[in-house]
Amino acid sequence: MIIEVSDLVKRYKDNLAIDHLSLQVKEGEIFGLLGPNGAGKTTLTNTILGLTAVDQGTIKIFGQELRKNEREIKRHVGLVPQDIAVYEDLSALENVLLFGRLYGLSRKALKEGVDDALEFTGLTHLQNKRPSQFSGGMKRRLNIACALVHKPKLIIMDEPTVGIDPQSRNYILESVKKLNSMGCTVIYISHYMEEVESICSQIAIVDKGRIIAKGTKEELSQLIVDDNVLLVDIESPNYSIIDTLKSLPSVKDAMIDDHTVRIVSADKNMNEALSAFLKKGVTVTKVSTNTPTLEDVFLTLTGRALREGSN
Amino acid sequence: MAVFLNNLKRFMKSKLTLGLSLMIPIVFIVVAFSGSGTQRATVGIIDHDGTRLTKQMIQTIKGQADVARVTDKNQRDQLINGHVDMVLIVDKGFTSSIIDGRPMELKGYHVTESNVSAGLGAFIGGYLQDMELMAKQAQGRQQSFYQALDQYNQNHLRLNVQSADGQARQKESTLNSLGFVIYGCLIMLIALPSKLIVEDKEKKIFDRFFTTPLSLKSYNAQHILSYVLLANVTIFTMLAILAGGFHASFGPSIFNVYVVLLVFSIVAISIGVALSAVVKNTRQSNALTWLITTPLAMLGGCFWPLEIMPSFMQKLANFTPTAWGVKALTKLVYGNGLSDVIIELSVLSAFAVIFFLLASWRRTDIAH
Ligand SMILES: Nc1ncnc2c1ncn2[C@@H]1O[C@H](COP(=O)(O)OP(=O)(O)O)[C@@H](O)[C@H]1O
Ligand SMILES: [Mg+2]
Repeated sequence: MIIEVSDLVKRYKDNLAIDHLSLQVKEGEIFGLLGPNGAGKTTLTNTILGLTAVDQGTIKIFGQELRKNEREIKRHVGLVPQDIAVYEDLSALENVLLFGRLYGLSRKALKEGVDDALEFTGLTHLQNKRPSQFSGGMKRRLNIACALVHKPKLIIMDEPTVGIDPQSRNYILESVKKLNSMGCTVIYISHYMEEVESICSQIAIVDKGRIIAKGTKEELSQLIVDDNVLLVDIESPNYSIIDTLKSLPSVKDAMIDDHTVRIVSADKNMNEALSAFLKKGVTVTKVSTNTPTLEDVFLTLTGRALREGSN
Repeated sequence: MAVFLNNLKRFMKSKLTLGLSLMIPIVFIVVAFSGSGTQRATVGIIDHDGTRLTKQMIQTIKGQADVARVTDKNQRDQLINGHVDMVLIVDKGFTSSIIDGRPMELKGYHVTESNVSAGLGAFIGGYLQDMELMAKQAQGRQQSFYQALDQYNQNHLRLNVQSADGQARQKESTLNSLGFVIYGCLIMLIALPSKLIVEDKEKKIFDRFFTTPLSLKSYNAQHILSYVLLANVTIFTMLAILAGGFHASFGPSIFNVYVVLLVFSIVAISIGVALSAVVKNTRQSNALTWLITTPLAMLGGCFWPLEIMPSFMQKLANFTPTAWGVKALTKLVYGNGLSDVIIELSVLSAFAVIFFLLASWRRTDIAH
């Protein structure tokens, strides 16, 4: 195990940011941490790196206890923070150099690390430009380069694609896969389920400081595969139908998004649900089924959509 | 040393702060020394007596002023044209009148009472008083008088190289300048730490630093070290300008002045670091820097002597590090050594310790 977190608790006054959380990450994985805003993902990273004191629990990285070997452990971990943390008035090269020096790299390793990190993030030709002249995507890439300069064995990326264009996002997702194929274990944190679905070999869903489900994408889908998901498009939005549906014994959950009603049924037989539309006089334009996504999993487990947030 | 080196780079980019902190003292050094030092009076002397005493007296005056040859005829014109600032006429019998204890008046003329001629007048007055005193002791005996005079000249030759008056003015200008050097150091060393550390926190770079093997202790130490280096460069520059450009009068040793300025700078750094632990953003740190430095400088006597302030203000000043810095520098410039300013240095050190403690009295979480 490259990371072993057990029974972690972190309180901010009355707010339980991390709630008796345990987590294991194997070497060589791209481990996805999926959860809505405020779920405690960033707090978890901060505790893993010793930036935030914990109230309870133990953290082991590379099989060593964090508190006893903090400096040595940090030498081999890279963090891409959620907020872009680089100096705006230093060039890209100077920024990466600075972090290389902070990791105490020797002259040769420093030069090599800086060159590789800039090349890997596609910033070599921009290395003498300052981030203040960069686009959002370029800044995000520099943010990543600063965490790669020391060639870490473990890299934690906290929402590395927030607020950027689709090309830059794809570039970053591809880089994550490439990093992983080069032998780096990646913890990929996001509230975008498509990203996590597309690149992660293991996924943990976090909500309110707890891990509510964990496994491969397929394993997670299994959690609700027994449920039948039915998508019913209706002519005009109608919210009272949701209450009616929810009151039915065969319906596990129901929600409406624009013109589409999503019904999760515990029963293969959907007659009861469908007849509710007839009884209410709601015009149905289309009926379809779909295979559950992580969004469905989250919805089923928490009763909320991912983007709604934890609070 | 990554943080240290990075700070040196960031100093270079803080042009406004650096510029102000260096320009303010330099401008005031120039102001403080203008109109002093280089100005020497020219005095025209007509010696009708021509004795050993009068010759010695002219020699002594030459230590203070340029002596020009004038005659009874042209002395008025020379004075009016401004070729000489002052004319002294020594009448025949002047020497014997002194030795006999019934001193004649020395006639002095000047067009307008200027600082220069007044200073010289005071100097000559003092010299003549000494002569009369020696004459009294010699009880009218010419030989004993001249013996005493030789002794006197030997003893006073060294001191008289620079006039008592000029030296006092030079000391005053030096102190005025040092007051502004303190003010400049105060601005720079409060503004930069509070700005740079807060900027790190504002941009979340601070949190990120500690995901690397860097420790908080090392971060703080490297920051402080970079400011100490900056303080040294500044102090050296200022002392070089003062000594080289203006022949400032630092008392027995310029090194002592350097020590006091350095200790004072460390106090300023500690205030800056403490400030950085309190303020929330760079805007606050900028505002607070000006709110703190100028009153500290005014109350501490950087701009005017402490003694001219009301006594309750002087008592209040004892709570400012600036006052202790100024007191120490004043003592040094007026001839004291480092051992005489131990109390001042101790108080300054105590200030530094207190502020560094305040700064480190922070929550344990780095991420917040
Ligand atoms: N420094 C802090 N002080 C107080 N509460 C905090 C702090 N940091 C995070 N929290 C709270 O902890 C919870 C988890 O936040 P965070 O870890 O940032 O979530 P995420 O990264 O999943 O969006 C939130 O309720 C947030 O308000
Ligand atoms: Mg977060």
